[in-house]
Amino acid sequence: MAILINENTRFLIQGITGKQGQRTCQEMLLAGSKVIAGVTPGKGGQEVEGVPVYNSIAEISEKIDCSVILVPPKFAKAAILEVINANIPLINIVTENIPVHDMAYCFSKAKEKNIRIIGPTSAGINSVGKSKCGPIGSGKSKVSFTPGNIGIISRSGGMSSETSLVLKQAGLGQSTVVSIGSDILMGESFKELIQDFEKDEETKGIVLFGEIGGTAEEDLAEYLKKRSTPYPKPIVAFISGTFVETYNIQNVSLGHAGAIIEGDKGTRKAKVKALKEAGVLIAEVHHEVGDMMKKVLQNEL
Amino acid sequence: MKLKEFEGKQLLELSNIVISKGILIKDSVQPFEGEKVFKVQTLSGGRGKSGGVKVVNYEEAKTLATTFLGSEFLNETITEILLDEKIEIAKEYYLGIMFDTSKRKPILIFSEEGGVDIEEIKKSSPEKVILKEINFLEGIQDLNSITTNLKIQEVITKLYDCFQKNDCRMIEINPLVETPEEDFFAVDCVTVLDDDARYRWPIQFEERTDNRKATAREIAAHEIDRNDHRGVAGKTFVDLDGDIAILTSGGGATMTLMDALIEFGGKPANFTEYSGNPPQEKVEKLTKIVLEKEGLNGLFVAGVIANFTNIYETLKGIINILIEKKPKFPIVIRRAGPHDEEAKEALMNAKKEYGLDIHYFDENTAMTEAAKIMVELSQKYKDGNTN
Repeated sequence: MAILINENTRFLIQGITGKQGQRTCQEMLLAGSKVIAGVTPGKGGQEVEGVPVYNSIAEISEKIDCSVILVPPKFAKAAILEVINANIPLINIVTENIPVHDMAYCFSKAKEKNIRIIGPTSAGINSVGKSKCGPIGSGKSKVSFTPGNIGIISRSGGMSSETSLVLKQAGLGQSTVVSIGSDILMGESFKELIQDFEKDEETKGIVLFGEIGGTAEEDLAEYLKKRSTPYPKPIVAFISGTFVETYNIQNVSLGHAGAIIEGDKGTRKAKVKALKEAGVLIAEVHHEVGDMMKKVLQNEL
Repeated sequence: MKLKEFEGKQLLELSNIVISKGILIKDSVQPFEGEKVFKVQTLSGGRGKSGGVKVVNYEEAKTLATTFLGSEFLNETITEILLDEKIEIAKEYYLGIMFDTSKRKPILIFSEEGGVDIEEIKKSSPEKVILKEINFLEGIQDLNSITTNLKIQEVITKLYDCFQKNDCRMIEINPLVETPEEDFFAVDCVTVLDDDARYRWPIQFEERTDNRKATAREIAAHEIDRNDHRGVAGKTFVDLDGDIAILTSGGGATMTLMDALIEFGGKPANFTEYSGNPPQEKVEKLTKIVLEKEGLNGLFVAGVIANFTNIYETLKGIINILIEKKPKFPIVIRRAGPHDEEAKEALMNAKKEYGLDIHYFDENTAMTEAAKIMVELSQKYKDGNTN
């Protein structure tokens, strides 16, 4: 088991011939992922690490389960729509800086077909020891991961590996680590993925890395509170933002409309409060998530 | 990027929304008849309450312009004044479009009670604020459910056009004024454009990061990245009043490390970040700026285990400056990744040869545990100095 991807998942890499595409392909193969094909318009017929490159998805005859998007931001919309048209059920968008209007369009199109999107600005998905996609767990950062029973969902790419590392130091391995990105519009988030982890027998507990801004944490809290049965697995979260709020270092304010949609949501204080009320354990310092999860699994918390 | 009122109005005009016509003043006021509305152009809100909006005649406009132009107002240096046409008000409305992050689509906000305090209306009488989700593939449907006023419906359609054409993250007209003749004018607006779509903005507004005046150190740090695009170093730099110098790496990691530092009682002297494998000289320049500050009691260098940032090359940039300055305070480093063995050796040599108080940690110590060690060592150093 694992969520989203496993040892049988068949991957396509869009943008495989670029520097990041090649590196990601190499690292995915090293992790045991089945990379079936790559796509770069105009580069059809080439090979990257022995993986055949095509001009478009239409040229691929084999079945694909997940496409990894590593194309430049200007071309991301076209690449994503190509995957949606090909009915590939899972898209992992690693590309950063995709215009938000392009993503809004892609999300609407994907929703019509129930296609799942992880990202943009995702460092990837790592079903530890089975397969991975995206740059997560490449190079030396591999030492952060070890197979086990904790699921991780992180809004920060870098912190998805550091969170794995502190769990490992507490003697806990990971089932699947998902880097969901932190864009203004993001794909599958805490609320959705926590439901995958619920069904995954291998996963015994979930650790979240949240950030200020947006409403992903509040949406999760609302979902947990509204459930007819309590969520069966322990959830431990770290929400960054104490510094930013204490020192008042904020990004551009979204003016009145921002205040209306999100109300008092979006601050660390609001997120922590909502999550605590929903039964989520909060670590005040990041590395405490390891010991907290260990203790709660041993019924000591 | 957030726009000023006069810039946002240029975009509204491109979508044929009728705006109150203003004259932009950058230096001197040209003579005019009657009254106009004097509006200081700021990025932050609340200018009206702070005295930045006034009805004036020519003489008053001249005096006020001299007072405001070039001066500090709401923590901004004022460079423009809008002398706006005075519109007779029968009624004021609020109209805005922005992205709803949890629904992953735009949402339209409309209220028949526009004016300055829309949040207050939402709190006191939420029924007066209409929220309408917009289907991104089909556009705004069923305008009658928002308002039956056809003239307002027309403005809504044009505003959505403006929102889409300019890649807005949000845009609002507040107030949308109805005159006694039942004509509609956009009198003020707030616009935030998506920086990631800058390449296709119809109007290329000048880049800006913040409305606060940058300090000399901040300007110097930003300069490092301006001419060298290999990796990132100093793009984000904020001067703070603490005594622990910071050189962290990665967005999420930097936030987490700063949180831990203050959670353990430390006080950061700055906030900055380098990542994406910058060359040695860029890290060296940033280190120089970070260590320029007087009264430091520590240097904290940390980040997650790097995928491909060359740890030796980047830390060498820091070591070079440490050797030059030979600070007495503790230096805590938590870094691992490509070439970290060489980096460790160079650090240990610098420690031995120059008596630097270097404490190096790799992946066996959690990043935020290193933050705790930094705060403790810094405190011990301070105590030693005062005793």
